[in-house]
Amino acid sequence: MTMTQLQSASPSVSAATKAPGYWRSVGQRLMRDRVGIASALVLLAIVVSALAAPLIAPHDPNSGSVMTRLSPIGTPGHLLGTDATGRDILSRLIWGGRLSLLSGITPVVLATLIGGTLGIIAGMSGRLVNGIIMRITDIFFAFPSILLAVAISGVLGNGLGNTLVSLTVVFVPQVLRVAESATVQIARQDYVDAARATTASRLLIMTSQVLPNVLSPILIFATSLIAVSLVVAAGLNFIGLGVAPPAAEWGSMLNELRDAIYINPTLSILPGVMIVATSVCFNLLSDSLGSAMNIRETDK
Amino acid sequence: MLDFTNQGTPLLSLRDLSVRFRKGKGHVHAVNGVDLDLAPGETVGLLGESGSGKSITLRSIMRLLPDSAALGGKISFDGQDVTQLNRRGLRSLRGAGIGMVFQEPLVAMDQTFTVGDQIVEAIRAHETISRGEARKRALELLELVQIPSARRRLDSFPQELSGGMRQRVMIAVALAARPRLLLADEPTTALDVTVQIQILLLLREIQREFGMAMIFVTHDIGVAAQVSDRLAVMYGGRIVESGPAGQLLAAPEHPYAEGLISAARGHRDGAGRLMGIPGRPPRLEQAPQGCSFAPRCPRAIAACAESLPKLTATGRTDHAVACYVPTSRG
Amino acid sequence: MTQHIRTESLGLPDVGGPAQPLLIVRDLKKHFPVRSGLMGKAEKVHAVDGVSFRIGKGETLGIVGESGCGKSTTTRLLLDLTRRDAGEIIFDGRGLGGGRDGISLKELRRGMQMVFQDSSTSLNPRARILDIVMFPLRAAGVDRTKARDRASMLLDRVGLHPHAFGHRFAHELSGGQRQRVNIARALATAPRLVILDEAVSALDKSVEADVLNLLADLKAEEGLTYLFISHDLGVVREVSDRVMVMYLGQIAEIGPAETIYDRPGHPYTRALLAAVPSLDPAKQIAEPPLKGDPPNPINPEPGCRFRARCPYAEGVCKAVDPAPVPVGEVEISCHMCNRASGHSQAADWLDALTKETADA
Repeated sequence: MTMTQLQSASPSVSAATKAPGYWRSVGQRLMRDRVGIASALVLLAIVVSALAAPLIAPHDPNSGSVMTRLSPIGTPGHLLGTDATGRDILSRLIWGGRLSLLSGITPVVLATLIGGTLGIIAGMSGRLVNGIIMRITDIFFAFPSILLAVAISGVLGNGLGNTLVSLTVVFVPQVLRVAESATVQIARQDYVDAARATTASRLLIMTSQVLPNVLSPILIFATSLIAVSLVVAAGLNFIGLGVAPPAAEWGSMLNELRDAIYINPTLSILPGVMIVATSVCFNLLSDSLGSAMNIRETDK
Repeated sequence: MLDFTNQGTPLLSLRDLSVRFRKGKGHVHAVNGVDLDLAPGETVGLLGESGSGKSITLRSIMRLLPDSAALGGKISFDGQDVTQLNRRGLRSLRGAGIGMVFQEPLVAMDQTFTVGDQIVEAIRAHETISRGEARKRALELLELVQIPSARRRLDSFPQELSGGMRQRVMIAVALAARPRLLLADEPTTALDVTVQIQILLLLREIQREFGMAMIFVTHDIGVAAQVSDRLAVMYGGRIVESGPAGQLLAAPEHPYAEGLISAARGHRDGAGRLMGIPGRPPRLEQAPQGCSFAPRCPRAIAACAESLPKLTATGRTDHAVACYVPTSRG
Repeated sequence: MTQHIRTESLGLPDVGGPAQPLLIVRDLKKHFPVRSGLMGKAEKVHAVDGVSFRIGKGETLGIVGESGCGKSTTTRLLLDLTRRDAGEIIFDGRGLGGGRDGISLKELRRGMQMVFQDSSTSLNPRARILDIVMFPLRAAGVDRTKARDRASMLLDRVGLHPHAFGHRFAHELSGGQRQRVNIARALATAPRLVILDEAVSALDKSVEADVLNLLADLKAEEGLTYLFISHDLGVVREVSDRVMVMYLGQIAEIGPAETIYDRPGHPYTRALLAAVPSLDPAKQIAEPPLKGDPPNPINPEPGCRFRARCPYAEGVCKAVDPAPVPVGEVEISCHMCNRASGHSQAADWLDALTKETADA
């Protein structure tokens, strides 16, 4: 009996109904996670305000009058006070969000792409290639990450671009290791062997069987890195290795407002609050993503 | 209330035992009213497939349940109500009164302590004796479970031993405080068949020597037949039939037990097809209203779905079945 | 009406004819290097050590043995999931890697497939059931629509309605259902030889019967040949025409299932069968047929591998590795089955064995 005859003979045997795929179900699960939604909303607010800075910032972040320096929170016209040179803190926080978020997200995205790819390749390769990649990665692990970031920044010099590069270099080995370890584990599973037993090419097996399953641990790890990246970037700016003043950025703002502790302590913690809030939200979101991507959770 | 022993007070008595777990927003009713009596020195084989509740029943006797579990009913050991014991009472019960042997020794034993240390620890948890004395006893125990070169093995780590040897060590640990009851949760399932029979015979020998009672949980009918005096078949968290091993296997009353034994014997129907039991195991999200086997039962009548059949004595000695249409009634 | 699942573009045509064994394996070897500790000696695990057998078209060959016998490694060598160290694999008369008349690995994998043991790892947890069954077809270059149709048909054939199950994930299915998916996937490219590696071992007995019936139906309808590996001796007897008993990487005994189960010729087979508990409590086993644990095949010594645990071991067993000897339709690798071996018991053993055969 030919295929077409079979098809017309029993329409029920024809293609199964399309139903939500894996990613859709992940989305559905995320929608039900209250903590995740709350964090996402807070982050959304921060990101949107950063993007809409020209529209919503009440003042120019870089101009200020010494006359109004270090005004406390609640001063009319300056909702969150002013810094040591009279610049409006609220505006600087809003504009600062741009650089801070950029420093947080960009290195992680780059590191995930580079480290993830290398890690998966290492995991699926033979002992020689795997050995080479992993031993080179180990060299990077000999250095504590902050020190490494400082060292590379010191070598490359100031500037946003260099900060992003140094952070990416710091994170690539970490993502690589997670990716390789996850890949090795997955590659051992029976269903990968079943795929190898077909006529499928290595690349097809990698993309169809391995990738969807290693993506989960990699993404969860990567999203948790965003908070780290944010803090390290702020740290680099704090010690003067990042963006040059007068650019608004939460880390450098922390540095600038250090002396305000003696005069108006509440002002000096405001950039810190932003850093902490954003980091916490990213971490919570990362946790939610982890639960949502866990395929074993039964949906009810 | 049924007393299945013919020797007076049972060593262990379970009455209307129930275990319910919290899962997400709902529950899992793993055990739904189990009645069981065990005489001193007797072996009961607790037989069932996955999801029957047999392992949970066993663990609840030692109160080895996760926090999300709610235990109901009564468990009496040696006349004492175990369900009300506090932590200290439980600790002295576990090991001294009751010992337990699990399926995976590597998971149940600590891989950072030697075999000798673990046995000694088990002994000294229940008896105040010196380390030296305890070590001597540990050596005796290893010899009792027939481990070759026992003296050397005292200093081995669990992962250095083969599967069969590890299981023997686990039995030695369980016996360390001379329990009166041994609970065995599928101890031979992961073993090769030639090693399995060694362990089964060892258990029987030790049992006879110490007058120990045993509850042996398994899904393998042959294994149950080899070690048990009596069998209790579980389905959907309840005992559906219990009786002397030979009698039950030769002529089961409950349709589930019948189906299970048929499948194990490789019986074929008229068309030469192997006979299984159609359908799927019951969902445990709700407590059973009627007999949980009814949807799959070839003999089900209306009453089966309406109310839960109780374990009632059949005409035959010591044999009880929870069914409205048992085989003997035609 | 059976819907034949074969199509012209898949599977391999029958080249050798009915007399040609579908699979011939000669002297298969696989030794895994093992290092005991960082500075330890490099040793080799002789997982498969000179295994030769053949499977006829349309038959089911069962393989039994305990841990370390090499049965699982053998199946992986056949599909080249593990590269063999030595040995020939000949499929329908065409040797693997054998030049012009030989068969390529790609073709072999169209003709031979495997059903894995149902564990949580045999199905991709993040793929839909239909996609899992479609994968081998897509990998073989079949276009999406045809692949989808064929996969749906296969799911239907194994008793899983594609509309109800096609879009589900593996964790939503029961053990028996997952095995059916495994079977459908294995049949995707219309193979002629299906290796069933502990395919029903993880299932409850009541479900196992259904899956075995399904396998029997498929075998009859599609003209399949099976290689059935299991540690469960009872199940192997139920399904196999011939049986191969393995011990420590070698074949102890191979022959018709009935003969081996009723009149085992190798002392290991005897012990193995005697160790299975009977469902009749009156027939309780009193003594363990074999002492000790199945050993690890690391650097085995010359001579018979079984002699350490064999109650009949003698000097010749230590000196000479027994070659397979035909006894009726069975081939047995034991010195006691060879009158010329020098074993003192050989004559008695063989006489008893052939007498049993004659009486049967």
